[in-house]
Amino acid sequence: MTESYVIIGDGIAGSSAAETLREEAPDADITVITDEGEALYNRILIKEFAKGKMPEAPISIHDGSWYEERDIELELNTHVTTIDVDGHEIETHSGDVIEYDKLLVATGGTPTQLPVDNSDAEGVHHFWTFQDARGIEEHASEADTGLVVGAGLLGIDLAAICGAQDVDAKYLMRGDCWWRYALSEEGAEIIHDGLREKGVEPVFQSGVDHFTVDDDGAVTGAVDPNGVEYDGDFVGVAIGLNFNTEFLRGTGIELDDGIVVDEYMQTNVEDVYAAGDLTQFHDVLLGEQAQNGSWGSAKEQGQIAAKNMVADAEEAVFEWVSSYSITHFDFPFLSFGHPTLGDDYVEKKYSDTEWRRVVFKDGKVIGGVLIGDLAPQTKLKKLAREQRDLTGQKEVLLDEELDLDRLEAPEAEQ
Amino acid sequence: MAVSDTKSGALRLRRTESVPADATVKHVDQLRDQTYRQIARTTDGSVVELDAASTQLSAGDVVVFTDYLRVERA
Repeated sequence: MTESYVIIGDGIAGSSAAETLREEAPDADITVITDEGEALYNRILIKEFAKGKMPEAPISIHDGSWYEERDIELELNTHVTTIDVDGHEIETHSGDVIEYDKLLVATGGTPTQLPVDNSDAEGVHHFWTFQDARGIEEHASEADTGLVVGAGLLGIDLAAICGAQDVDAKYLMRGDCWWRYALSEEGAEIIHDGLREKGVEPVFQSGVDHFTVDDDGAVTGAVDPNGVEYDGDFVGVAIGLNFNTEFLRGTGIELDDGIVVDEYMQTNVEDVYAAGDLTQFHDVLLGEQAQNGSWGSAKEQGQIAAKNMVADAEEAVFEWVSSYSITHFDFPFLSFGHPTLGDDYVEKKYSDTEWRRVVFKDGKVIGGVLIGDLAPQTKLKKLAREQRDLTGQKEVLLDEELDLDRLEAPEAEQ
Repeated sequence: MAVSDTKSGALRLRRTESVPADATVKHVDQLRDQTYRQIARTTDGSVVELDAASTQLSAGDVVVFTDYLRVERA
């Protein structure tokens, strides 16, 4: 029977795995290793701290006593340098060797740096950890002008932080709208108006050619590809994540912009599992490999991985329709499933602050975006889970009051 | 996590500007769909029938939505 479990990463995926492992295996040795200097915190809420609106304490989820009470060994400030998958050992930067029967990799990602001059200048911030949030809060609270780069779900947090901290900011986007892979210009305009109300001006067909710095090496602004200069003593960059898999090279674990796992969170190497943002998992609803960076998805993946690790079998399946909400504005925003994938969509604008897109693959709902009116979310997620073929009926999903009884009953299964 | 009050009963969500350091704070994405849906329909001060145990919310908690919402006993 498996007796020792090692988890690399103490984010919500690793932590929920640890909790589940302890519940399922009361006598096992469980070790959690993290390169951060603090235990699990709420990554969704660190943006609220960076806005200057929330104290630090509520952001922390676990303290040392949580691990002690569960007899879980927590190793902070520890990097895993190598894994011997045949010998079932991991080695840390300090030379410690830890054996495992089952290993879970939940190391998440690190923000991608812009490949332009001076992208590492003082005052250029990336945003992923609580420590990043502390630095951002301190700087943004003193800054006069700001620039934000990265027209997606992470960049908008930096824009909102500028707004909340009264930084006069420009949001430089390469395309014609925010999150152009999921929204039309009509839908994105609601977001643009929301940003403007907060003192953040979207700039389209822009971006960064290089950053400018002063004699001390601190950022002073940027020049965009059109040659336009912008002031910015605070800069936030959010153009994506590089998944933390360097230490897995040479192990034979299959990597493809993340760690490839099946629906049981198993990698191709026996006794090695992965969970969280960095997985390329087999999405049983989509029918293909997918990735997801939401809190709920990561938490569920951690739990699924743990159950299968303890069972040493393919017992629990990861089947999940994710949600990601933006709460920066007066209107709500929710993205569910995979709104940037698929082969078809329907969309409609209902008012100046309400818009909806539902995305399909082979006639089935795989995701969508709701702005302003979130009432349809439960029904749309239900359709996604049921994988109902809605070919010929997609427009019904744009009814303001969504009524699933208007859909033809699904065909009885053979 | 704070121990939820297991008595069922109405909870009220009220807008708040400040978050006490000792509050349990949750983002709507951490809540169950049903609770999220009810919160999305809630206006300031209105009473929504939420069972504390099923929502895993307790009086004194703060929910982050388009506003910060403090959970109170109705």
